[in-house]
Amino acid sequence: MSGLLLKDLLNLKHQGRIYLLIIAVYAVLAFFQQDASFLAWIMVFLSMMSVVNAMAYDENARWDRYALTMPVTRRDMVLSKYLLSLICLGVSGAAALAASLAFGASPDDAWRQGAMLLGGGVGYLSLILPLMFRLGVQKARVAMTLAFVIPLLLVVRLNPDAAALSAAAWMLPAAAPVLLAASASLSCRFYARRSF
Amino acid sequence: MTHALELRGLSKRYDGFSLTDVNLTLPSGCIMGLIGENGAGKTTLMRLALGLETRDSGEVEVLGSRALTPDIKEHLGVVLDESGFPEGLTLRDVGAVLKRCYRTWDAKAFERYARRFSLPQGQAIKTFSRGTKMKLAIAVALSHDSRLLLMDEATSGLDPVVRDEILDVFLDFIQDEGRSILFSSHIVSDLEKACDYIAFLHKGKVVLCDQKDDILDRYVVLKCSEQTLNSIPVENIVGFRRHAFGVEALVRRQCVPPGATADPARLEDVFLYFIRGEEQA
Repeated sequence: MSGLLLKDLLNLKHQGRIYLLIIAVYAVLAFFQQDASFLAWIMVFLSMMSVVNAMAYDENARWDRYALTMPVTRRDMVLSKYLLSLICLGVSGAAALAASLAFGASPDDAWRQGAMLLGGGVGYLSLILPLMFRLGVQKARVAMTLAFVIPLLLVVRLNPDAAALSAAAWMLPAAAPVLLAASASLSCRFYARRSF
Repeated sequence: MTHALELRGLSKRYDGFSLTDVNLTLPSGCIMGLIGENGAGKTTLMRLALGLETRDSGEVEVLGSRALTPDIKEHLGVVLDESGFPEGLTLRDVGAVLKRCYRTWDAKAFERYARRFSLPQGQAIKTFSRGTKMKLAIAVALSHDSRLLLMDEATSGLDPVVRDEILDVFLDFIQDEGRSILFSSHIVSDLEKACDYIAFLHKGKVVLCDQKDDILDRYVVLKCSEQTLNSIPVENIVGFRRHAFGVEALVRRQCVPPGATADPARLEDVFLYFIRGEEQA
């Protein structure tokens, strides 16, 4: 599995330069506004997109068909993407936290914002990874967009107050391992039945 | 001795195409060429053998095992019709990744093949031509302890010089008795050069599977009049073609009427007449 993970990281390194540029631009904005909220959001968002991109690159290259002839199991193929997700979210989460603190947020606020972003990130990936493993990235695109837009609209509509936000900030990270485990189990089942 | 590959009664049905009751045995130490026209089912056969697709019925045994475990796959070298690597990777990246995928990865062998095939260093795979991508896949297949190479149209799209070089590499590979190759192609001349066994696949069925030399000994191309052809029992005629001055037919060697003109059959002739013969029947 380490080979699979390395392949994704190396490919993202080559293809992800533009993301670093975007982050740099928002970092400059954050500096001038002394508010890293948007920067934190962008970093976590781009890390989620990196996982989707990794799956898309694989699909374009028809990597799965080839990799499954190597000493890897279908389970390895699925779990390596979850590991990639954890790494991407972990790095972006830590960076988001650091940026928030650097640009004047209180530790409480920074932590709350970070927890919600990460919780949201885990929730989104837990939802779309099984979709992508079942349908492939191209066919899952519409569902993936809905999976992003609908929760966002719900949050805006519900307009949660500070107490609800505080609660969410603790509940989401606590739920994360359960969500990921359930998602991974479903993905493995879908992927086991796919043809290449 | 266990065979390198055994397919027994392999079948798979799709809308508009079926692979039907395929029986194929590749003995260890041999190269088998799988010939078939486009759409005959060569790729489907490979995908079923590799567990990339579930079969409807039949059995597959790879290197003596019914289950394609990572241990078995350690000794498989596969080249499919596309490179497979994400296009942002370079040669060095590929080496680093595969070192962690294969227990028996031989980095020095990979470097040697990369040099021999003139694979570009330091450039992303997206800049490679189709032929170069194929050469990369072949280099990878040969850079770990492969005992069975499965090549699906691996030389299509390569120029004749490179194809010749690759065939030499395969002939080197097969010197070790424990190694085997299944090589599918529609470039019959490549298979004629390198293979011990030939299997003809046509519309999802194996219409012939035998040692190449036996096949070439068994049949001749007869040039005669239609009347002469009609004197030969039908079961000894594989197929025929009408010309302005008579017919040309692929027949069993011992059935050639005395005085008739018969040329040795080349593999391409045998293949074409078998396909045509099916259609004429």
